[in-house]
This record gives sequence, structure tokens and C-alpha cells, in this order.
Amino acid sequence: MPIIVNLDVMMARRKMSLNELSEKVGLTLSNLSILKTGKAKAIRFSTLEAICKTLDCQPADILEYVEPLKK
Amino acid sequence: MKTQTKTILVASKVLAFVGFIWYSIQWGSQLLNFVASFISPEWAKHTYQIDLNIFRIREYSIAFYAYAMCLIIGVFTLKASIWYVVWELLSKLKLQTPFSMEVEKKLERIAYLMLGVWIVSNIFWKIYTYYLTKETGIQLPAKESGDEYLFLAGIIYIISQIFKRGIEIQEENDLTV
Repeated sequence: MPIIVNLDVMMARRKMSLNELSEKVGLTLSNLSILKTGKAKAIRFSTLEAICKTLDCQPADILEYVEPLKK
Repeated sequence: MKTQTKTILVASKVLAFVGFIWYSIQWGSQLLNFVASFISPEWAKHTYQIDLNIFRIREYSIAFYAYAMCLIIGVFTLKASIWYVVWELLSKLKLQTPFSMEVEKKLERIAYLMLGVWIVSNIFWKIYTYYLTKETGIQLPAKESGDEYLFLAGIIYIISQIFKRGIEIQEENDLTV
């Protein structure tokens, strides 16, 4: 998928663990893991809002569009 | 209501298995008669569809007899396979999570097998009988060419595609965080 999730980068910048983020955002570890590994098909605005608020960042810091490689 | 669905599914599973065994026996019997009729033509009299004048065809031409038997055995193989896939589908179906790709693939396979039955039946009743009458003068009694299988194949294929879309939507929902 051309949308890349840079959640791990932001977490590393804020020195926050997945457990800590899970507690603060109110998401389950498995759901956060789905998001972090790029397996998620969609993200709710409420989830994005909670993550941005907790990590003190903008949606663009977490989501990035990368042009897909042409075969 | 839940218990009723479960009971219906278990009963269908048993019926599907009985259907599979029944068609397997018929398939085995036809195959045995076919092989045995090469040694003794009298065996051709023991085929299930005795009204098809199979024995007369065997006496007239081995090639025509072999074509007919291959098509008949082919239909029985496909029919037995349909029942086996139905049984497999019902065995793997979990009422808690019925929407899975495995079930969808099996539905699709049933549709293809039914289409196969229709194709082989049509080859037999339309093409084979035409050449048989033309070459030998033997006329087979008019029978249905299995058009209901084409209709059923279409319906099951449509259901499988709707099922597939349902699974995709479910997957999307599961992967929405």
C-alpha cells in the first residue's frame, strides 16, 4: 500500500513504548501492532486524534504517501 | 433458532456424505463394468443406464462405446466430486465464524464442478448422440441434457462472489483501528 505508517518513528522520537502508548491512547496492543506493522486497512479519525494528542504531533508525522513502484 | 440451524447443518452434512458415497458406488460400478466389458461384452448389459442401449453400442463399435462410457464416468466423477466438496464445506463451516475464504473457495469450486457436469452432459446428449445416430443409426432415448446444472452453477457462483465481497468487508472492518 502506498500509505506508510511511521508510528514507530514517532514513538522512538518521543521515547514511548507500545505499552505506554496503548494505555494513553486507549487502544489494544494488538490493534496498535496492526497499525504499526502497516497491516491496517483503515484508521478512524478518533484513533488518529488520540495518537496525535498523545505523541504531540501532526497526522502527517504518522502517515506518509509513497509513490508505488511501477512493475 | 440457533439449535435448529445447527441441526439442519448436521443433517445436510450427513446427506452430503450419503450423496458422495452413492455417486462413488455408481462411479465404481460404471468403471468396473467398463473395464470388464473389454474382456466380456456381456458386462455392458450391467451398466446403470441400461435404457441407453449401451450394449448395442458396444456390439457395434468399441470406439463409440468407449466414448460413451468415458463421458458417463466423467459425469459420475463430477457428481461425486460435487457431493464431496459439499461435505467438505459443511465439515469446515463454523457457525461462530462462517465467513471465511476457505468456504468461499469451496462454493466457487462447486459452481465450476456443476458447470463441468453441464458441459460433459451436453457433449454426450448433443454432440455424441448426433454422431452416434449419424454413423451407426442407433438412437438413444431423449433425455434432459442437465441444463439445471448450468442454472445452479450460475446461482452458486453469484452467491460465492457475494460471499467473497462480504469476507473482504469483514476483513476491512477487522483491520480498522
